[in-house]
Amino acid sequence: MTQFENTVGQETKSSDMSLNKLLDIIDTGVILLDQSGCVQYWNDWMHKYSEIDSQSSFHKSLHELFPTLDCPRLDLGIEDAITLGMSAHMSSTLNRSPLPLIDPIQKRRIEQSINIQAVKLDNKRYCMLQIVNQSNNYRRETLLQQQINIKTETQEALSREIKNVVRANAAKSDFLTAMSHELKTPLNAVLGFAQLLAYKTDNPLSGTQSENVNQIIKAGDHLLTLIEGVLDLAKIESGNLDIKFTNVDVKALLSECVKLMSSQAKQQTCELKCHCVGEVLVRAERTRLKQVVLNLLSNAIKFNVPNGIVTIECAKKDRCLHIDVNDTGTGIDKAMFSEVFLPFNRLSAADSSIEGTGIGLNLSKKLMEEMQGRIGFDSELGKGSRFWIEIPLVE
Amino acid sequence: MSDFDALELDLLTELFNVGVGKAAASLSAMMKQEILLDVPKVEVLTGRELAKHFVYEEPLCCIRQEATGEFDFTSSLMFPEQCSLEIVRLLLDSELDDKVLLELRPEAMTEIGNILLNACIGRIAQMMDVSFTFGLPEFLLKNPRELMDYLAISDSNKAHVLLVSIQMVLKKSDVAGDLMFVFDAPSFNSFHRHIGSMLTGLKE
Repeated sequence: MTQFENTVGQETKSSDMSLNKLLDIIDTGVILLDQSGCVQYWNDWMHKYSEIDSQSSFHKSLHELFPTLDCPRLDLGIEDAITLGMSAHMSSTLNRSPLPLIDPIQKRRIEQSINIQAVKLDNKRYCMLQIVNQSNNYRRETLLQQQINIKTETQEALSREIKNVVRANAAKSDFLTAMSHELKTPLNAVLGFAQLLAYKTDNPLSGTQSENVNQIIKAGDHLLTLIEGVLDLAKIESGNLDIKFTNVDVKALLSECVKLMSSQAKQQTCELKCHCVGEVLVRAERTRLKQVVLNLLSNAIKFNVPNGIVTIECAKKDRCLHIDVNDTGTGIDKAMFSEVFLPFNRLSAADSSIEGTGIGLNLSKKLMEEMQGRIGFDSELGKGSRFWIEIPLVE
Repeated sequence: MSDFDALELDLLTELFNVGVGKAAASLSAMMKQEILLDVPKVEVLTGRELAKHFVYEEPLCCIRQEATGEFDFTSSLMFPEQCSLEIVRLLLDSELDDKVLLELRPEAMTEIGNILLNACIGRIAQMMDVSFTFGLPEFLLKNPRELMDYLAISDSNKAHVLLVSIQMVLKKSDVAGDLMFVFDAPSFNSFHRHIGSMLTGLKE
């Protein structure tokens, strides 16, 4: 005879038997705890899932039966039921497998919802636990798994898209390279013949003709710069830019750049100053480094104020040479900082008469990266900007 | 309708202030965030008067528990539907979308409501020195009219309703809900007597 009959069985023996049979065949765990929280009844379902039989469980607390049990909410629920008569429901949604019950077939800890029901019998309080296996229900984990599946699918679709975009970008680069070559050939012819016309000494052009030819040369030069820039970008993007590292004398390179830019500086009434230390050698491709410095100087002059100053400063920093190009120009709005190195982005210059292609800084950044260097800037609106590059020194 | 005098209503407000405070503390521990609580507003109404309280048709999410003991009553905790979804979202995982939250809501809200009701009523029962046996919580999602029909308090002057309006301020959103206790006449009288004698005890 089980202890449940001793405690609550005030009925006839036959009805006790049927009650016990009933409680043993239902697909729910049933535990009856007395006022001290000790087991008075433990049904067959509990035996099946805990491997503790009714006899062994009798008069033991849940913590004695399950030493690993750690669920304050269950402890409180049982205490409230016994002392205050409060019933409680512990959902499988909010409580992950409170009791260590194992599915005998799947050998997995089952998820469970527990009803903690306060029972009053013969003026004594008991607590009845009903445990329902929720492992096979449509539950939170299933729903979460569904969400994870959706996320994975989205991720896969995204990677597919990225691959397509990369492929399309490579195709674009190939197209640009091919097109640029095709454009450069006739453009060189246009420029060459225009220059022949402009510098013809035997039969000089009239004033208007000379002006028109100069316009052709100016526009042609602009187009050539743009094409060459696009070609360089396409080469970098397709991985075809082959940097030929040599030891570059920075002092000589800077003075060449200053000389090259002096006429543009004069035109813009801008003073060019170069404060550079003695001979310094860096590892870079000379032409490409010169291209970057010229781009920074050209910008510093273009975006300067009349009678402004452009200063070049060099300093060794760790194992790099740091070159600053400072200007006293209009500066860059903080809101546009993130767009400075984007291609074809001319910031506020787009609306002004200042000439430019919008790829210079983007190209400079990529070239510096290719040469294991860095590029950056800081700027204050109305005060000017400081663009800097860093390039490894020769060891 | 109120058979309670001002002093008795004051005592009821104080009792629910402490009880709801205990419930908010439980909720705060579950949600791991601070919850600010207004002093609850306590009213004693008939079913007919209660109908006027719910002016909107928005469905209510209700967790209901029966209590039997020195007097019997049905306790219900009600939140507007949207509010209940917000509570479940705060408690489970903000990443889950609404469809999933809707699936999980009945079970989650049953437990949350049960914890809040137990904390509140348990504390009040302790203070009143009375004991009850509570039934298991039941989750209902109905519009106010259906809910009152279900609880058999529609258009009735027989049912006595103790309505406690709660305002809780959570970190991300405010939660407004109602606690409702429905008594039949003999139980209501017994409850009234207990409040009266508690007041007498306090005066002595």
